[in-house]
Amino acid sequence: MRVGVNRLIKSAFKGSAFTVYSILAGALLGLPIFVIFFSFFYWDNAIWQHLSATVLPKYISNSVILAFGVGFGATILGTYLAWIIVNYHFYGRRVIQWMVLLPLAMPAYIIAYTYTGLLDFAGPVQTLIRDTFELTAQDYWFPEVRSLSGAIILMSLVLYPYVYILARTAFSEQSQKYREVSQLAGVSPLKHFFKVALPLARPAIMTGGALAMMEALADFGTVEYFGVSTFTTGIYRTWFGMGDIKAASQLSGFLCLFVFILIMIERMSRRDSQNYSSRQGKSAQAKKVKGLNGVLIFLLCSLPVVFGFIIPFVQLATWTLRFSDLSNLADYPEYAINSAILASIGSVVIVAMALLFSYAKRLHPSKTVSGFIQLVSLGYALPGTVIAIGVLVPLGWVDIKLNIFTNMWFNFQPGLVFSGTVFALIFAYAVRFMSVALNNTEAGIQRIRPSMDEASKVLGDSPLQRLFRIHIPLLKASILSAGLLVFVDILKELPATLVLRPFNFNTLAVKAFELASDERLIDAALPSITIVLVGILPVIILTRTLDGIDRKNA
Amino acid sequence: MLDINNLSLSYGTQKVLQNLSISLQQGEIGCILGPSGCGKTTLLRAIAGFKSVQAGSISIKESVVSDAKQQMPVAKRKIGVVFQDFALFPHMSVLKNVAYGLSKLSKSEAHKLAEEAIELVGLNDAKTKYPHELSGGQQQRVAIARAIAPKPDLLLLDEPFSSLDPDLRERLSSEIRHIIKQQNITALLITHDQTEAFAMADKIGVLHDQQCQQWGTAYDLYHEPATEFIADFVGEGVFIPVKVVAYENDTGSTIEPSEDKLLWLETQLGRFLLPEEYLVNGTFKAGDTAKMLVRPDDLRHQDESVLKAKVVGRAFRGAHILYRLSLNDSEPLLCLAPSHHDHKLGESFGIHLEVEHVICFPN
Repeated sequence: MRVGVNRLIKSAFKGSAFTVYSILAGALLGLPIFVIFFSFFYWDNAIWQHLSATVLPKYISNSVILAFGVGFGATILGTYLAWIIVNYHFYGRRVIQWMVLLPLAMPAYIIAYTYTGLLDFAGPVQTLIRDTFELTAQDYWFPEVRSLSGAIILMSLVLYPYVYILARTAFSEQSQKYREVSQLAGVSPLKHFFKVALPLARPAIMTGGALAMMEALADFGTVEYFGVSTFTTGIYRTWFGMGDIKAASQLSGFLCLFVFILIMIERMSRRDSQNYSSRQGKSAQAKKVKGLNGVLIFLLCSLPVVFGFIIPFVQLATWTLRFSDLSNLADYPEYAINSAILASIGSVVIVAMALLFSYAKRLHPSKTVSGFIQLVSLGYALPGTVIAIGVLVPLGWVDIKLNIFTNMWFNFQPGLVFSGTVFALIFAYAVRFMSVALNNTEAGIQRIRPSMDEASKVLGDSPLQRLFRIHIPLLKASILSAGLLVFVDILKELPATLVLRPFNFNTLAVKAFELASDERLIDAALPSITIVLVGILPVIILTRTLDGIDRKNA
Repeated sequence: MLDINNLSLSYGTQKVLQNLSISLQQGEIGCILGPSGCGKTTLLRAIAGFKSVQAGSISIKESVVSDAKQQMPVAKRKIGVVFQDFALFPHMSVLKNVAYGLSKLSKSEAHKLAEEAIELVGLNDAKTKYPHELSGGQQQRVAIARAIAPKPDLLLLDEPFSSLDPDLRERLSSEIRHIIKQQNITALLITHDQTEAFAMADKIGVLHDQQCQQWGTAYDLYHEPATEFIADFVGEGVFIPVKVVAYENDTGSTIEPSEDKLLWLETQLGRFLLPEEYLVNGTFKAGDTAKMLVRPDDLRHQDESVLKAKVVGRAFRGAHILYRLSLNDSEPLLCLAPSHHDHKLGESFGIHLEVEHVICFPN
């Protein structure tokens, strides 16, 4: 420990102010992760005895089934879509290629309550069935949407793009020559898929699957709304319902164990995929499919988008346009403005921090700085509820000490200045979404040639001048796309906002969730559709990026 | 073994090859040589069955595998292909890669054949390794082993050495020639590199202008090029201007005029008799101007020779020096002289002519 601290101080002084920044900011953002991690070591037997006798088995089994179910569903959907789109030319392929990513804009909790509205007893589908066949409730069986399997299906429908994006790149990088080798060897196309194409894409598919599973574990809105008890709902109830922060943080630590297994799988798969990289020669040429087969393929490919985006979107739009009554509109600007302010502050702060991290690493590449960057990029894997607890614990402690201190010396209590304000929210967002911004700034800064820095150095710029005169202008596109992605992610974020928001502070996501939970689905439609529409922006950017990669491979 | 007759290939309306005819005997190694974009790869793909044929035919072992009407499926042709980038499967071990084309056989049979092929290319120690653990040369051998393991009737090699280092290229090409010869495999190689073609092939065809310009041995291509393009493309040499004149036996030459149609080629290096094949074709008549090919080995350096040229350029090549010489301020000639005949620029340089093959093209 001593040695570690010494080395830290030394490397801080060897570097510049940017290195010091990255160490301090990295430590700050790593704090919630450590709090959760260490709370797990302050094992409280009483809590665990109580938990394991009551809810824990249910949490574990539900969370594990949910994660595996979603991982499986998303992998199947994403892989078959990617395979077809890479290997076949059919009428409408361009449209499908664009639409396939749209479910990314649909948060799971929104699709969940939309389908509930559509499919529950009073919904249009069941009503239609009863009216057509003149049945009563006892006469027929209809699957229950609000169930674990319902959650698995709906989450798979919105999370498959994670697998699709990676699998598509992997498939399209496979050389045309491989297929020719199989043809020469008399290996059938189906066998080729299972013996060559799929194994080669396996690491990429597994990475995507692991990401989908992380999202499933992190989900709070869907499972809470469906009444399925998982870790995230458990953590929320333990804290909100019973005010037991200790049990909540112990549960969070336990959930993190699962998350870390997924991170390991993800990292290992990414490393494998480098060994399996088959970027040789020309990419596979897509086969033309015409006539009835073309139509069938088109329909097959459009199913996930139809169920994962179009149907819920149309339902939301209908609710908004036809049934929303004006009295609800009165509150809408307030939530929208709150959301916009929160997302704007968050994206500016987070992107600026990410930029400084990337720049610090470029100025003085050291193990320490890289280590901290790796640490702060871990946040994407942690569920919002867990991060919320991780932020709440230290900030709450600081607030209490601060109040005691000011009370003692100035006879004045400022209240919860950290844990009860927007500060806590921005802090939590920074932990969760730093990696989103870092991905962009890191990739962008690596594209700037080192000779640029040297030229600027020779011409007398200080590091700070260089940042503003060279890097920021060159990184404009990366900064903008990082900002947009973070903005949309904050807009959609539910559990951390729900736990950490100041009293009576509502955002679109929170309001949509609360209204839906109160069974006011129609009123929830307007804030929901706002979130979905804004969420389409990054999908457009992503589609363009993927098209660019395609053109490079062609 | 391989017979290609009047083959024409095109992509849509764009013609790639026309009226190409070549043939290989069992155990012969053929080579298609040509600059990039001349249609070599297209030809290879047509032979393998990846590309349809517009006219003419391709036969393997006396049976037609491709013509304008029909096309035998790729897998039925019994062809092995070594791809330019090897196209090894990165997720399979060497053994699995080599056994890939043997899946129709029983496990033990496939295993045996694969091991044999690996043994043949000398990779016994690397059987369980994966492609990314191998060097470029080893990957190349795996690719060869995979192609020959199913004992194909014909082996096709697509620029097999282009992704390797030059010195590795030379060593491997002679090794691989040895393996192919030892197994009595018929092989066709395509390349843009003539040294590779000379080192590997028994027969070489040069593609240019959608045509196969000549199909023959390396010796033929170098010494008796059929077209001006080949004369220029293969080896080094210069064209010198010649004048075609009627034969007059005024020099006391020993040549007996069998017919009075004989023609002289008059050059700054002296007179040469126009070879008979040109007379048969009637390409030249007295009074024409033409150009004659002079290879560096047609000029021999002799210090005591009466014919003197001036050194205008020199390139040191180890055992030899390639001199550029000027005779009466004409176009420079090339002469390959042993390295210890070290002459400076501007020095006078005795040459002696030993033109064994008189090659001449109309202007």
